Amino acid sequence: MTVYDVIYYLILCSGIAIGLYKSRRLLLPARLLWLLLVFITVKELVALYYSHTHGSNLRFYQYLSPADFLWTAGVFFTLPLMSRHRSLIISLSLLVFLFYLANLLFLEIPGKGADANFKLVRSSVLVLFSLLLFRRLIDTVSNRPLYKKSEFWIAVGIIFFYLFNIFYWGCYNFLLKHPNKPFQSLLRQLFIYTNYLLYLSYGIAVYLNHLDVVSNKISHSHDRR
Amino acid sequence: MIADKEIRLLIFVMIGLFFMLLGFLVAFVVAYHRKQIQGRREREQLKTRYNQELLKAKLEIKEQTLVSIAQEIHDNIGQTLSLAKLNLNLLKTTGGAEDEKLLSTKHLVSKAVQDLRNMARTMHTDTIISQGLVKAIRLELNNLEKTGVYAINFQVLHEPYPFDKQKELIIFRIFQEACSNIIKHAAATELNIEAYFEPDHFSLTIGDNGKGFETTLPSGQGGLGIQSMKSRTELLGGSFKLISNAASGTRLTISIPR
Repeated sequence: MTVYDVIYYLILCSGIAIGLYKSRRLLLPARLLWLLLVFITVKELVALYYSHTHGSNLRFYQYLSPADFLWTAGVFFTLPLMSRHRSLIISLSLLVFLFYLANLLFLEIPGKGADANFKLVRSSVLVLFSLLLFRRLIDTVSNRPLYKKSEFWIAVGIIFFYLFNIFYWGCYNFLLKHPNKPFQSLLRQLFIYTNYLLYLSYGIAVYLNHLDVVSNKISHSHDRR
Repeated sequence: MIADKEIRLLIFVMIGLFFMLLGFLVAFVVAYHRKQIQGRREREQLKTRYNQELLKAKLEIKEQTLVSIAQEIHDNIGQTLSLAKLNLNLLKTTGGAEDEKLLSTKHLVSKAVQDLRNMARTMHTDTIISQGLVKAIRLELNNLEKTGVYAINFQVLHEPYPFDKQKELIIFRIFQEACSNIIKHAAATELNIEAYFEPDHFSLTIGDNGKGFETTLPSGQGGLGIQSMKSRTELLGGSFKLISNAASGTRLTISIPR
């Protein structure tokens, strides 16, 4: 285990601990987010074990990659602020899942490289969801400061991480053909940092556990804690 | 070579993407903050409008009550006293000591009828509206002067112009409230009233030589009368100024835009 891994698990465990501490009062999206953190931690630990026993955990990650996406889409779906985009979230999630199956069967067969195509599509859709959430946040301004809103942290974490993912997986095939160690190492470093940022923002969102229920232009924040 | 060039391009794209995202976030936070301020301002305006409407409704109810009381004084008590006076007039004089008492009673009843009429007149909205602000103030001051307690000096500067009737009524009620305060608390002997009809605004100053009072009380601890005058002035979009000290009495100035 490297220092990076330790920090990674520390962030994940902090998020889980916050969720446990607030478990009785967690709203549905925050509860889903917390379960996502639990799922990711378990997945990472199993992947670590899998790589020890099977040599590579690429196949394991490939089979589980739509789960993260669907879970995150579920968080967006349950956010009251995203209620008007629910049909879009369902249809896009379904399309991405179908793409995943097609990609798995015909394009990027498990064990023969990473599923870059699926990750590109998934990241684009999540960035779109995040942008929609930003839009809803600005449409429904409330008295509560922005940094005290769970939705803001979810949107920030996702846009940073998945936008970088688009870039990363966009370069993936090019870098396979033209390997460049310093650049690849830089990308890996950045990948780790954006990952930290994502789970840190999830943790903050779980901690804040506040959601605006709004339908008017000038909204009134309802603290439902 | 080509790959190196492309790597460099990728690094530029990545840096560009990062700054774009950062710029987007900063712009978002600024826009959100601006909208928040705008929303807060709109809410404040709504609150002010709501308070004004509430005050208007309260004033209307008060006016209605005054009208009913004035009507009642005029139609019932006034009528009864007039009948009593008529009956007193029908009593035959005997030439004894009772005649003096009878005459005195007649005078008292007549005075009561006159006072009640005057009171009803200042209470009744229509009377104030029909005669105009200056006349209504003068009438009120005449009634005060008749008590013999106050030396009154009333000055009207510039040519009086008519206001919206509702506005006139509110100004008059402020004036009445100020007079009522002087009678109740000031122990004054002199009243100075100045009405300035400036082209763009009207201002009314009511000064007395009474004992004055503490005007620097925290909000909520001041008298209801002062609060009411202040909110009425604000309802008209005007300003309210109150200066008071034991040496020179109290001076209240309201300034209302035309």
